Order: sequence, then C-alpha cells, then structure tokens
Amino acid sequence: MFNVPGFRQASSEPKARSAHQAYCLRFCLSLCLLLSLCLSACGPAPTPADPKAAKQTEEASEAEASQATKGSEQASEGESTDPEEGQAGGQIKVGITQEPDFLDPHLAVAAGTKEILFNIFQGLVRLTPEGAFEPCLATSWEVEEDGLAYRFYLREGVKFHNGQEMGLDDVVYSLQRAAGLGGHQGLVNELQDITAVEADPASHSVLVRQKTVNPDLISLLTTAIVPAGYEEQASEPIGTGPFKFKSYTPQVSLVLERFDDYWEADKPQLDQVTFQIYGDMDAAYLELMAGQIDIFPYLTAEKADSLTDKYQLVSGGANMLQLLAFNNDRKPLDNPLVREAINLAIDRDQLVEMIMGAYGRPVVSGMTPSMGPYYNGELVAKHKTDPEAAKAKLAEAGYPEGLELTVTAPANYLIHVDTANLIASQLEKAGIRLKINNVEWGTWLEKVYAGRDYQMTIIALTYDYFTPSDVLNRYMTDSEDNFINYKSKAYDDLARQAASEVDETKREQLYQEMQALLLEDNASAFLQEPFNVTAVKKGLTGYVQYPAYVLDMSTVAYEAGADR
Amino acid sequence: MSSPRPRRVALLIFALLGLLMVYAFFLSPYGVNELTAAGKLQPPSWAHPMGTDHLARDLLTRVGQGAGWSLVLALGIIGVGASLGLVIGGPAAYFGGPVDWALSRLTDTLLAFPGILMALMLMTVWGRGPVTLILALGLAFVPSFARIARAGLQKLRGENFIKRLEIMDAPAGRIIFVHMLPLIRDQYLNAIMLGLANALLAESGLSFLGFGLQPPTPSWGSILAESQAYIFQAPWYALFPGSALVLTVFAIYLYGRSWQGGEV
Repeated sequence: MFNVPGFRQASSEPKARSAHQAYCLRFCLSLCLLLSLCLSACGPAPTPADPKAAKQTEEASEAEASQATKGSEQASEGESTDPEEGQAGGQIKVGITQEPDFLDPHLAVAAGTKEILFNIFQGLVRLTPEGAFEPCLATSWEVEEDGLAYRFYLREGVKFHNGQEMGLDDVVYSLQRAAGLGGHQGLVNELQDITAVEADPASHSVLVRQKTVNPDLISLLTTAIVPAGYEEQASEPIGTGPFKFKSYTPQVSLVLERFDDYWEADKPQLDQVTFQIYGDMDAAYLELMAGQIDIFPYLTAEKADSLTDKYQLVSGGANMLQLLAFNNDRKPLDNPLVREAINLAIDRDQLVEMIMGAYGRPVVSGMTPSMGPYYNGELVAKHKTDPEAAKAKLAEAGYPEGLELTVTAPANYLIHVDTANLIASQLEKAGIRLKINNVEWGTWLEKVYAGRDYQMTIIALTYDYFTPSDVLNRYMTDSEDNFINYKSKAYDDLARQAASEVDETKREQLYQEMQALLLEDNASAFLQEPFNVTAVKKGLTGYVQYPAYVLDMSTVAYEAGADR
Repeated sequence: MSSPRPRRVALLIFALLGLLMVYAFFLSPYGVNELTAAGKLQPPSWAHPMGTDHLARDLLTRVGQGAGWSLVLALGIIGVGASLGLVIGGPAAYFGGPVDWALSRLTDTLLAFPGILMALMLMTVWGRGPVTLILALGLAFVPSFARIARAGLQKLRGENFIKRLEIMDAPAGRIIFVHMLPLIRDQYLNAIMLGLANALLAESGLSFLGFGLQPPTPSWGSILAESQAYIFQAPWYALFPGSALVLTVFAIYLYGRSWQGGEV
C-alpha cells in the first residue's frame, strides 16, 4: 500500500495507487500511483476509535455531516460555502486522470478509484473532512470485551441502489467478504485481524471481534457495505451512497446519478456527476482553460494560479508525504553523521516555496500535519538548516572533501524530478555532489521500492487508511514497506506499545515520540506535505477538501442563479 | 564560387554561440545549479538576460553550458557514426562482390529501423546515460555514412593508381584509408557537417525524453523538457534554448551548404 505521491500517474503495484496528480505531480504528475500507505484513523476531532469514548450519537454526526467544512484549516483557500445556499439539480463534469482499477469496492486499491467510489459506497463509519471518523451506516458503537470486540448499531431505513433495504445480513456478508471469513476469500488485507462478525437481530446490531486490541479498527470499517450475495459489483456496482452508478466507458468516463432514496436529507444536490477521464494533467489543462471542466482535483501548483479567472481554488493537505529516502543499509548512508549532514543541508522552506509555492508545508519527520493530534508539531521548529554544520558533520564522518551521492527519481513525477534538482543545488553548498538518476515508474517500483536497490530516492507516500499506525509502522524493522531499511529497536517497541494502547492521550504521545525518534536518527530526509489543489468552477459551492483522497460530490451544488 | 553571405551569417552565429559558452562556463557569476535570489520563472532582466528557470537558476548560464554539452554529445554521435560508416563503407566499396553485398545488406537492415526508435530501444537495453546515448544515436547514423563512403570510394575503385597499389601488394586497409579516403575528404566532411545538425536535433530529442546527461547537468533537450510545463506562464523559458537550438542547426546547414558551393 503505498501510493506514490503525487502525482497521480498510474501506479500500481503492491498496492500502489495513484496519487493525484496534482502537483505532482499529481502532476506528479499527475497521477500516479502512489504508494499507498495505510492509513490510520485519526483526526483532530475526538476519535471514535477510543474505546472509552464509545458511543457517538447520531445527532452529532448529522450536525457534522451537514456542515461543509474545509479540509484542513491551514490549507484551504477556496470558498466552501454552505450547501444550503445552493440549489438542487444540475449536472457537473469532474476531470480525473486515472482509470478506475476496480469498481468492486473491496477490490479497488488505487486512490484514484477509492476517491470516486466514496460517492457510491459507504461503510459503518466514514471519514469526515476534519479527519475524524463518524457514524455512517451504523448509528453508534460500543466497545466490548476490553477492546477485543466492537458492537455496531445499524441505521434503519437505509436503502441500496437496487431498492432493497440494508439489513444485518448485508453487513455480515460485506465484512466477511472483505475480511475473508465464512468461506470468503478475503479481499481487504487490513481486515485480516477480524475473527468474527456476528449479527444480533434483537438489538439490530453486529458484533465485530478482532484478534488483538486495536483501536484503529474503527477507521478500517469504512469498508463498503454491499448487498448480500450480489455478484455483479465489478460491472454494476450497488451500494448505499448518495450517488448510484450509471455507466462506465473505459478511457472515457464514469457517470453517477442522484440516488433518490438516499438516507441523508439534503443530499445529494446534483442530479448527475460525470467523471471524465483524461490521459494526464496536460490533456485536461486545455479544457480547464476553456472552462469545460467543473471540478478538477489534481492541479499542479504552477498551473493552479493561471486558472483563477474561471475557478476557485480549494487546497489542503491530503496526508501526502514527500521524502528524500535514505537507504540506511547503503554506504555511506549507514553512517548517521552523513545522514545528519544531508538533513542539515536541506532548506525545507525554500523547497516548499520553490516546488509547491503556497500549496505545501514543510515536514521533518514521518507524519504530516493532516494527521491532527498524532502529528508532532514541535519538530519542524527544532530543525535548522545549516550547510556549514553539515560540512563539519561530513568532515567528522571522514569526508572532509565532501562526497558524491546518487538519488534515483521516478521520471514520470515532475515534482520529484524538480525536487531532486533543487536538493542537488542545496547540497552543493555543503560539499555534496548529487547525481540524479531518473528512472521509469515501473523500474522505480521494482528496483527501488520492492528491491531496495538504491542509495537515495525521492517519492511521496500516501496512505490507504487514515490511521497513525499505517503512517508510521512502515518504518518498523521487519515491515515489508520499510524500503529505507531503518532498523531501530526503540522504534519497534514504541510502535508495538502504541498499537495496543487504548488510552487515546498516551497513544498520541507514543506516535509523537516515534516521529521524534525518526528525526533524531535521521532515518530519511522528510521534506514536505504537498497539498491537493482542486479547481472548482465559479458558481459551484459546497466542495470540501478532505485530508485524504476523497472526492465527495454529495455536498456540491450550483449557487442560486448560477449559470449551469 | 560560393556566396559569402550565408557563410558570414553562419560564422556570426557560431561566434555568438562560442561567446555564450565561454560566458556560461567561465565568466558567469552564477553557478549552473545555483538557486539565485531572483526567484523562479523571472522574465529576462539585466541580471538574468534570459530570465530564471523554475528552480530560480540563471537560464543564460544553463543554456550556455547546455550548448557545450549538447555539442559534445552531437560530436560524439557523429564521431561514432562517421567512423563506423567508413569501416563499413570502405571495405564494401573496395572489395565489392560478396563483401559489398553483405555489408550493404547490414546497412539496409540498420536503415530499416527508424533511427530514434532504434536508439531508444538500445538505451532501454544498455541503460541511460551520455555514453550509451552517444553509442545508440551514433549507430543510428552509421547507415547513411556507410552509404556515402561506399558511393564515394566506389567511383575511385577503377582508377589506375589503385591498380598500381594492388600490384605493389599494398594492404587493403592502407589503400582504403590512406590513399582513397583523402580523395573523398571534402565530400565526407560535408556529410559530417550536415550530420552534425541532425545529431544535435536527435540528441535534444532524446535528452528531452530524459535519456541524456545525468541531471542536474543541462543540455538543450533537457532544458526544453523542463520548460515544457511552464510554456504558458514563462514562454521565454522554452524560447531561449529552443531558439539557440534552431539557430545553431540553421547555421550548420548554411555553413555546410556554402562549403559545398551550392546556392542557399
């Protein structure tokens, strides 16, 4: 699960998926597959994942749901007005740059697919624009058996797109299908710790049991609920979301239409949403300039500013993390002094300014500010850029004359190639000559990511699930996603402790300590969080930026009197 | 016999190019990879006559050094193409018969592949980098040089001085390269000149695709590739390296034509 960032090009691999192309790359070039990481849930809001916090009321969720908030406060620039001001009806065209990988929600791994399926499918819980998890098809939940089981009370009156009412059997079927229980194959790896899903008709609830105490379970239960026994998801997907599937023409478009029996009042506003597929950001750009696309989520920073006459820009962190990864096993990067010298020589503020302009923020450790309370915000201020100190460290490490290093960059993500060039310039001041080796995406995935055959590389990571464990556990010694070969017993211990910690405050602390440790050991040079920049046509309202890959169309509406 | 004006224009462009390179490599106050204080994508100014690129580097310095690297690569390509062309074309013309047939079919086979496509394929197999770029593109230029060499030398094959040399038991290699070659020198140099323009374009094409020098070392093709994303916001970014390339190729053609004695 990694997504490579940014840039949404196609990715695909062990779960690579595409990130948005927007900048990066997403321009990254635009699309890509990013490596997806896992996600953990967590957010600025009190997280329901805390077993003690157990019950969340439906009221709270609805209040939140009807509010169109912006993604992350720091980042949003665009106007996101209240949908109530809008008027119902109308259709829009949303530009995307990646072909869906699977329409079956349990099979889809590409971020570019999941963000669309968000409109068709829902789980027991869902992510909010603030980065918290709120009740969705469940109205509330309780922790049982000291965290080893969760009971979810189902919402009544929810209908599938085929008109059938959602019942306990559908939930049991869906979770078993995804987790590989009851004779199913198991389609979602992250759910393999679930040991049983039991229905209780009396209280209209299901009990989900798991092997170990893991507060991140809640965030994993965004897994789509589908009609029991329905076999045609891959061609005619049926869920409970605000929009139903209408048609999919490969390489052309995916069309969704309003679901009239949707359970939330006031949603959706639009009658039809067409996701038009473009080859890449550049192909979409000409149509954007002509105003032919209503919403385009993968803008690159330098193109965004040229569109402001027809579009509003909505930007925000989407939990994407760009890093200059060190192969900790490779000489001379196995020397902590060399790693420290490189980290000292990199000026993140200049990097963000040059590469992302206003659409990014500096990061120095393995988590982005999008992760809210789990993010260690003190570290950025602690880190100082100092090329002279870097030189001294190099001399101490035995390289008084400086040294030559090679960075491998995926050639299809302009953002990473540019970043490599910029870092080459910055490192020159510290006496480090950087050679840049641009490789094809396939080569990168195979040799660099899977094979770990590289000295340094630049990539952006995105995460499948919004959980701190998915973000940070990849740096554990034995993790198969630990492509930087970081080995720290102290780090592994903290990660294990955090995984089973039920006290939310302590959990946050542990994850923050892990970030401090990554910086202290200079495990890699973490660079920045590139924002997702979305162009929303003037006259549209209600578009909300989530801190993850989500294109929520349910709140989008035309302003009263807007030209359609 | 040749019109002096085109030649003068060509020499003027070469001189400007030379000045540009001298400035970029030795005189420029900016490093080729230095992030200047001017900021990124700045339009031309006195401090930065060609403006700055997307990473705030001085474009004049980069285009000038890019000229140097592009020319080095182009010369390397032509060097490989022209020498292998002689090695194949010489014996084909001298020995004739089965040798000619075999070598000519070899060049035909090479010629059947579009040059750039073959170079791309070779670089996929050999890996990226300046040396493989020179070899791969050089090979793509071999067939045309081989044909020119063969055609030129074949005309000399029946001359009496060759027969005399044969009677004196001179080795074939000596006859071809020492006695025959100088007689087609002008013709061959002219082909090299025109080939150089093509090599420059081919090199820029492959560098544009990312197959050339290791970044951040610039060549015209790689600067053009980087500028592509900014063509609307900063048109000068693509315009300067692009014009430099077009003018240089133009000047080489002009010079080659005037040398050949043709009217331009």
